[in-house]
Amino acid sequence: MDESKFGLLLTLPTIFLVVVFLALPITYAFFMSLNQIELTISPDWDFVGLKNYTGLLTDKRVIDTVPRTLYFAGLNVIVTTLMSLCLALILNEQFKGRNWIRVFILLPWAVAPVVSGVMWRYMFHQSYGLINALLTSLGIIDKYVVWFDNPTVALSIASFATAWKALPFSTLIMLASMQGISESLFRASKMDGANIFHRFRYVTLPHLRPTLIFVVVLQIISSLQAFDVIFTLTRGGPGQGTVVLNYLTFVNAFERLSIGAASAMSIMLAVLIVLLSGLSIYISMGRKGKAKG
Amino acid sequence: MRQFLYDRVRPIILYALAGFFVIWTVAPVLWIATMSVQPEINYVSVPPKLSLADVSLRWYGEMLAQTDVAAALQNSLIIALSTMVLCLVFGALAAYPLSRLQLPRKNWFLTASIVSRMIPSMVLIIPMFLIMRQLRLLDTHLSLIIVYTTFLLPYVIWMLKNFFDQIPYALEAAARMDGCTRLGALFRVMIPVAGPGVVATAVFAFIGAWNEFLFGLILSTRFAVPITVKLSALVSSTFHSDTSLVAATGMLAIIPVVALVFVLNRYIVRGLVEGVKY
Repeated sequence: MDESKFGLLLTLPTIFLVVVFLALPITYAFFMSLNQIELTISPDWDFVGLKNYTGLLTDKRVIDTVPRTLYFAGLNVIVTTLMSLCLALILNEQFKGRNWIRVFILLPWAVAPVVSGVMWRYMFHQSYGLINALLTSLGIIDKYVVWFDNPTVALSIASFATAWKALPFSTLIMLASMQGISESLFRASKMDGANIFHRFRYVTLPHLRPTLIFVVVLQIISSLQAFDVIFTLTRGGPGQGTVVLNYLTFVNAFERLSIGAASAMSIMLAVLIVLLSGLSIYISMGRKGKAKG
Repeated sequence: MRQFLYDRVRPIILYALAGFFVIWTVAPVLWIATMSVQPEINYVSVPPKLSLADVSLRWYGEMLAQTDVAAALQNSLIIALSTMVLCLVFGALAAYPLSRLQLPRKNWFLTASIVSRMIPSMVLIIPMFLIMRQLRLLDTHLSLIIVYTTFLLPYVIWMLKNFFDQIPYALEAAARMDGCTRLGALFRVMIPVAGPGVVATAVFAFIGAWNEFLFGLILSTRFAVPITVKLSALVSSTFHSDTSLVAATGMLAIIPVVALVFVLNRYIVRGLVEGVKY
């Protein structure tokens, strides 16, 4: 058999799965987004063209999620980027016990987002949260606080839980990028009298820039997809306090059964994510080019 | 003097920061772990009265004795293992020609595999529910195995391709000269040589399937419920007598994957970094 035909044959199982369970459902979702489908009223599809899309722009519930999603994403991006940068810098140094720490910090990566939602819920729980117990014993608060009653606090906790989960992966790619900096650059800068801060500012940081941007974009994408953590952490509460864009899509689809509108939202979200991912890949291609050059 | 200060201050700062990160990472897990081995009354009281004398695994025993929790763990195991095997087989078959053979429109394939990684599951969930209903696969292991395999394959192919790319052509050429077929070269040379990479990819697929939630939530109702979905149901229900039971279930949901990560951490680190190299 000729080589290219043979190669094609080997990819057939993957092509089959991707066409039937990826391409087909997306097409399906797109068609649904062009129809009004309100399963609470009737199972009928009513073709409305792009009305679901234009409807998104005027839907108050959608508009309300925008500042929440931005806050959630912003906090997640800042916390994840700063913490992983700091942690990667530490792990790039030589010290006793470093290998142990490298193993330990992988932990959040392994934990399912749903479980991390439960963990953070119990950390901040009003009657048995560790945070309440600690703050009380330190005398900072005199009685237990109901953290999840405040929408901003609840949203921040959700964002922290997401950042917690993202830390290992972003640290690893930053560390990998740092290890690509040639040792001679450091030696040269040392000889020129650069101290540790100079070295960070003029050697490490410029080299890391594409990776930093990559981590930022990655966290924006993951914030746009936030669902699991919020589902077990707050269920969108208090009120609508932690209902971010992706969570609202779920609520529209499976609680309100507005299938058409939910599909339109999810398609919009997908387009946004594909654009952002394209950007992140473009950046990491740059990353590779830089590592070579 | 400066050198002296540097030598003195550097370790203090390093260890302080490292300590902070370890606490940050471990605290949420440690707290739920503590809750899972203490009676509720101990941590509900103000201040919490944790006691070594009260440590007990009985909440684990109680949850494991409940058929639905044991069944959920079993479901997750079946689904994750099957997904892992399918991902490796299909992934290796697809990654091999992408790395080694002439393939018409190879770039088209590579782009498609990147694009399919970007698609958020929320877009697929409604149509997937309808498709699975049509195929009469709702609430079966198979439906979740199919979905997870489809979702993870683009990552798996990409990781395996990157690992295969690092294997010298000469190895394979030698095997072919000795009369090995192309498929033989894949399974007897490429996969064994890429061993650590294959392990990393396998763990990645297993954890990805084990930790998934949204599809599990929508596609399963009774018989195929995975542990992540079971846990979320327990957290929001008020029927359990004791929060320690929920904490124990949370621990049961992470122990298998955490154990894998601790044992195979070196492979995983490499695999993760390899997965984002384009």
